[in-house]
Amino acid sequence: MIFREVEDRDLILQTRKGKVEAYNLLISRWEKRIYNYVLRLVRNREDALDLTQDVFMKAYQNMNKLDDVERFGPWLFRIAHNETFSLLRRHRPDRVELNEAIAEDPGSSPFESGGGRLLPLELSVAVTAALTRLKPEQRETVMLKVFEGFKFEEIAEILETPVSTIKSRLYTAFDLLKDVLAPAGKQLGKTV
Amino acid sequence: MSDIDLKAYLFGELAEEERRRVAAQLEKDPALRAEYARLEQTQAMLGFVQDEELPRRIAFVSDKVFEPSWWQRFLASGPQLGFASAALLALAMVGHGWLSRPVAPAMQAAKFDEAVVRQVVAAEVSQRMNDVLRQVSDVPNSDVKTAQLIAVAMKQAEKRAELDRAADRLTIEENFNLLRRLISRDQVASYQRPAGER
Repeated sequence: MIFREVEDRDLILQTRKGKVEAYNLLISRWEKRIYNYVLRLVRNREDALDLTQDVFMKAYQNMNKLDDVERFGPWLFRIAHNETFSLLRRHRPDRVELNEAIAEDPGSSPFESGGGRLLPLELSVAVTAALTRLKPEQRETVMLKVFEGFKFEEIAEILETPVSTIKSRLYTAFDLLKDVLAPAGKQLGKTV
Repeated sequence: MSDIDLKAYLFGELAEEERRRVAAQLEKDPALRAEYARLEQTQAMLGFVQDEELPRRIAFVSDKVFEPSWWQRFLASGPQLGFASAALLALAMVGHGWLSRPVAPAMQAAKFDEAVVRQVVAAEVSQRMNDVLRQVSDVPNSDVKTAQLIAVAMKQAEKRAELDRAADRLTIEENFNLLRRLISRDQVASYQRPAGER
C-alpha cells in the first residue's frame, strides 16, 4: 500500500464529482490565505469573512470551468480579487476599521510615537499601517508577491494585467515601503 | 547599477544566468550591496505581518441545491459521454433490428376471425354428433336403454364441444391481445423515428 498526501488536484476532481467533503478539505487549506488577502484589501473583518464565503461558493459553482487544476491557486485568488473589488466598487473606500489609529494620519511615520524597541506584534501593526498608505492596486500586488509568493506571471493572470504593469506597481510600492519602514528597520536591527 | 534588476533578484524572478550576473555585481559594488540590504530588510519586515485566524470556519453541507446536477457531472466527464453515446447507438441498432424483424408464424394466427373459429368448432361438433347417431342407428334392437345411452352421449358431446369453444375463445383473446401489443409498439416506434423515415 502506498500512502501519499492528498493533493489539491485530487480534491478538485472529487469536488467535480459532487463530493462536498472533498471541497471542505480544500477550503480548509486555502481559507486562511484568502481571508487574510481579502481582509487586507477591505480592512473589515465582517466583510472579509462574507467575501471569503462568497469566493468559495463561486469557486464551487465554477469548478468545472477551471481548465488546469494545477492552477487552482491563481484561479482562486482571481475570484477573490474580482469579488473584493466588486464590493469595494459598491461601497466607499473610506471604511477603515483595522489599525485605524495608525492609518488615520498618513503624514506621520508609524514608528515615531513609541521611540523604544518594537515587539513583533507592534512591528506587524506598524507594517500593516505602512501598507495602508499604498494605493490599493500597489498593496494588492505586494500582498500577492510577498505574502502569497506568486510569480509575476501568476499575479498578472490573477489581476488580468500585463506583467510589465505588475512589475512597475510592485517596484514603486516597494520603494515607498522601503522609505516608510526605514526607521523601523534600524529598530529591527536592535530587536532581532 | 541601472541595468541591474535588484528587486527581481530579491523576488527570485531572474533566470539563472542573470541571477549569477547580479550576484557577481553585488560582490564588487558596495553601494549596490547597501541598496540590496535595504530591500532585504523591507522584505523581512513585511514578513512580520501576522495572518489573522478566521472568526469561524467555512464549510459547506451536502445540499442538493448546490451540488452539480447529474447532467452537469455527466457533461463534465468525457469518457462517460463517449460511452453513453456508444451505448445509445448500440441500443438504436438493436431496436431497429427488433422492429424490422419478420413476424413469427404463431403471431399470424392472431389474425383468425372469431366467427370462423366458431364455424369450425360447430362443424366439428356436428360431425361428432352425426357419428354417434350413426352408431346408434346401426344397432338393430334399439330400446329405451339404447335411447338413454344416446342421450348421455349427446350431452357428453355437447359438453366437450362447449369446453372446446371456451378453450378456443381463450386462444383467440390471447392472440388478439398479442396483436394489439404489436400494433401499439409499432405505433410508438414510428413516432420515435425521424419524420423522413416514417
